[in-house]
Amino acid sequence: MAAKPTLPSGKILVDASLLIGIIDSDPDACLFIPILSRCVATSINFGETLYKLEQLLDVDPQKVESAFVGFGLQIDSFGLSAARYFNELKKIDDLSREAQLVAGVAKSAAKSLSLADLACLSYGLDTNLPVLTGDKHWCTLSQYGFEGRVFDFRSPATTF
Amino acid sequence: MVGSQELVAHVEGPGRVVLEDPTALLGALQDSVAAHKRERHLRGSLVDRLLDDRRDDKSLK
Repeated sequence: MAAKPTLPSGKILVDASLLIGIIDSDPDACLFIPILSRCVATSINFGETLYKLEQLLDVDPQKVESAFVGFGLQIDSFGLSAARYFNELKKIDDLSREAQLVAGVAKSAAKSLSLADLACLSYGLDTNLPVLTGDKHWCTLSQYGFEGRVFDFRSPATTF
Repeated sequence: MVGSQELVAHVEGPGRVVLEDPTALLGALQDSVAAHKRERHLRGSLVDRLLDDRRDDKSLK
């Protein structure tokens, strides 16, 4: 399933890439500020946002949290039911990686999923929420069996 | 930019709680990030940097 251009109504699961993009004034990410009040992030991906910003630029994590919570972002705990999707996702990731190598992509350049990627995607599967990310690679996973809905905020076609 | 209508509270040191408009708080954070990037000669998008860092995550390999 390719990334669909229009976000459905209701709750949207956002990846750390969107939150970091907003703090970095990325114009594509900032387009989605008006819908933060219907967005959810996992505690893992929110933690990733906080530590990346502090590690790189000494951004105060408390202020980042206050700003996002102030806009209505919901931060959900990551639980066992979502973690159970890790195995399925890792198999999909292996298939994707194998296909990239067959297509001639160098081993060092082949894209695969990190633990933070798995956290967001598995939570999306567990809750059946559409996922909004800046990682185009996630949009290619449907051809290897990923059944979630992924939207790329960097695609000009993605609207709400 | 569209902001929430409610103020948010955050602690700014012992005994000091600040109430702030989230739009103003976000704007201040964005300005601070832009300034720090300039000072540290950090070019490019933080989103790209996050995605690159994730690709370096060897915990699942």
